[in-house]
Amino acid sequence: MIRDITLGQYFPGNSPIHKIDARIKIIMTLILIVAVFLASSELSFALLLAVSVTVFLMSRISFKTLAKGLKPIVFILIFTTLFQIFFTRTGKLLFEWHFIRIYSNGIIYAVKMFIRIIVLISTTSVLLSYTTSPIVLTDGIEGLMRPLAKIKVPVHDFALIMSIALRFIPTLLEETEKIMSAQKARGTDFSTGSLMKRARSLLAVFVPLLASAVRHAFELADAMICRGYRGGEGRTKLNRMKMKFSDVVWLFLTGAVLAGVIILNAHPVFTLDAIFGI
Amino acid sequence: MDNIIEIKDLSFSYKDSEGKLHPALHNINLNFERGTYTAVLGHNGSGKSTLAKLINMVLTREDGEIEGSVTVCGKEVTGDISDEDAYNIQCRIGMVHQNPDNQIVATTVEEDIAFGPENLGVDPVEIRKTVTEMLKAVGMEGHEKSAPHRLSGGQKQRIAVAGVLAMHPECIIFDESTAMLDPEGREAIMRTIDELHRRGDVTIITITHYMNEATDADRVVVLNQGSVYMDGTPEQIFSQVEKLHSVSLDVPQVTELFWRLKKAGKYNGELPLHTNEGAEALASLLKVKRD
Repeated sequence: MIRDITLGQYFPGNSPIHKIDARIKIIMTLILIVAVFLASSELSFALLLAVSVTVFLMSRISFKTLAKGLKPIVFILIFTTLFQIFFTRTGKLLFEWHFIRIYSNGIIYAVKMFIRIIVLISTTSVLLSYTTSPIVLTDGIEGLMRPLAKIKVPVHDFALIMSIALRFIPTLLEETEKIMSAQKARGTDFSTGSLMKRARSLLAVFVPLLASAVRHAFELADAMICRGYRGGEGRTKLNRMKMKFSDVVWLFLTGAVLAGVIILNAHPVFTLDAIFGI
Repeated sequence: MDNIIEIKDLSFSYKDSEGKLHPALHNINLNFERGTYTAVLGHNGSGKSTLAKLINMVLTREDGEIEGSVTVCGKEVTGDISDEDAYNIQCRIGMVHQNPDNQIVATTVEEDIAFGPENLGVDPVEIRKTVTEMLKAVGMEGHEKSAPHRLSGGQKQRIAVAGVLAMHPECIIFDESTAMLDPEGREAIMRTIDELHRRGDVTIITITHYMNEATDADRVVVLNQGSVYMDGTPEQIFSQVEKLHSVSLDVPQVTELFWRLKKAGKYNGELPLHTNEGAEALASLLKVKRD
């Protein structure tokens, strides 16, 4: 039922990855993304692959879950890999059949691209979606943006908007279900007819839904005023995020990975070119 | 006598977008004594919610025409009032609304209860204590980390009550707080209200159209078409069955039963208000008959 929906793809757990401070996780993700795009030598790719496998194993997320998360990108993955194999025209010619020619560099680029995409998607989803609840993530973003409040960016307001949106998703979903049943009972047909016709029948859901969302907003505003809300100034917070020593270690390790990638790029010790003997 | 709320010669008319006036309250005079439990009864459109909104300053001169005055905690709220005074009074008068979903702000129960104290700038350690205490007060211990959308209507409403209690208000107004709940949820809220009343440090005003929710109050005020129609103890009010029927208001079922028995000449005691009193009266009635 709609009541049981999980927001995002968060899997509650107690692993070391779950315990990292959300702000640190966001920074770690950003550093790793930079590292993935900087990587060019074979060893730096090997390092990134090793890091993402380690993070994945430490998070104790099942392989099935990760595979499910990777499913939507399978097409892109296959397409870019094949594109690299068939359309790279540099390096040594390895194979020729009619118009198909495969060069050594094509294989190398394809493998690198494959690793790049896999590492990118799996580390961001393991670090952010699977092991961080949306609520904590919101707090993390707010925490990171806090310094911007000094230059009059309404950080508190953005954070409140996000958390109220998260809070009301299940409520509005429940309401959508109710309105759809009510409209079905009045003879609206959502599942047959042309695309236009179906879109038009959905209008019968959206209009009442919007009206009810507006009503929610007004009543919520009243309730918030009644509970003494008047903006972010002077507010305290029940759960303040506290940076732990282990969080600093994680940040340091991620920095080390980035440094490692840069160093390995500059000193290609072991390359695939060597294997193909160019 | 210490009145937390004093209403004097109050009339109110809503102003619609074209400037036309729609009268809602006529010449109301009511005082609410500190620490008491009052039930305000009436039909839809009798003006009971309007009254609550005027007390809590949700309705102001911008929304319509006000005559007379409402004084809360010694400050006249219907006149010119500074923003700071208005804010202080809103924090001292808590309000529980009808729809529990529209009162819950945060994504976890503990953070929602903490919302009020957070706004007041209370120290986090103190807030933590308050959250634990208030969850206990409404019988929802152990739900700190629950997501509001996974709770039942009654549970959500109890969280809303806890959120209001966390601000340590001097008065709580329950504006039709049970109307959207199932019987079980309604029962739980009524128990919570009784418990609060027993502790005695807070003034309670419930606004309802369920008659049997008014029987435990110290005082019942019946509004009809914007005026005070009756005012007295539950016993005084519900014994005047004909007077209530004449404005098509009911009395609690058990009272109705004994009123009919009385009219038929089968019973001549006091009209009971509670089911268990009724059961006892019925038992003794049957016993007399058998003897």
